[in-house]
Amino acid sequence: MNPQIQELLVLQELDALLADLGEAAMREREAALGFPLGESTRLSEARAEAAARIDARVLRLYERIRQRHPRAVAPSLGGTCLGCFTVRPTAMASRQSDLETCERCGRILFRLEEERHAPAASAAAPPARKRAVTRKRG
Amino acid sequence: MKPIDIATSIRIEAGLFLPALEVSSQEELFAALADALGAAGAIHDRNAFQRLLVEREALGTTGLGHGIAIPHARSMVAQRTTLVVARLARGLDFQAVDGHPVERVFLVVAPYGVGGEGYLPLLGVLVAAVHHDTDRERLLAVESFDDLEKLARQLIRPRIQEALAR
Repeated sequence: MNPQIQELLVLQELDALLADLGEAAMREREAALGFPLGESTRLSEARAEAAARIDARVLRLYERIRQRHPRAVAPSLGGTCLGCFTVRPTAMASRQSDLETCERCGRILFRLEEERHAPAASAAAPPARKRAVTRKRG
Repeated sequence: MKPIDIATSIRIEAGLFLPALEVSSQEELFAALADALGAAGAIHDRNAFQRLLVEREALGTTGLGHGIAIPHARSMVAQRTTLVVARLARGLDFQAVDGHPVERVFLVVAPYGVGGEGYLPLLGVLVAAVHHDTDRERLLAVESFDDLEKLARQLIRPRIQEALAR
């Protein structure tokens, strides 16, 4: 997996946890179960450290996508973005980085193992289409 | 052995029962749990998930006392709601509420949104069991995947179904 994607996935996990902590209902639920939560200072610091390991252009792209989709980095499988379930062209690339993005929702994509281990299927895939085909709205 | 669905969207499987886990720190424990989930295909990325577990635990202990910890997290890399059970070869300091070392770990992981519906019911059932003498003994008595499957069938599943029906 692209090292930048790996860093983005860590960042995304930390962002999701930070967002959860910002919800009073989540804190109350945890406390009711016997898991009182402390301050998020360390988590915020960890988030800053994780962000610092990501290329500035990639980080900007991630932040921009995250304004629309909390899950800014999504897997793709068999050419389908699992963020919005759109079948994407086989070699779609972002103009702002060398990362693949979904043509429809803009999410940064990483390919699941099944897809990476199926080169024959990729080779046999039809040429890239100009427009994505939407199967199901995410 | 095939994975077993405890209830809607909640799964246990033999590869996610770790019978005598040798770890000497929380870091090693979370690494082992992430490895097991990654090998089972229950998460997309074990590194991100391990980091999530570490940071979640830093917010407050999941050691509920009586030698039992229930780490839990919703995750962007989770595929489905999954229960991982580990029996630790040696007690591990978790800064548990009663100060006792942890010997049994019940990890609950779930995705956000679709597939994560069973997360809170499963967590609630496990926490309640820890605080109930008889049920806690049943948690502590799990020594094999067969025992876990029996526990899931006789205790966890019916109570989750009750919770989901409310």
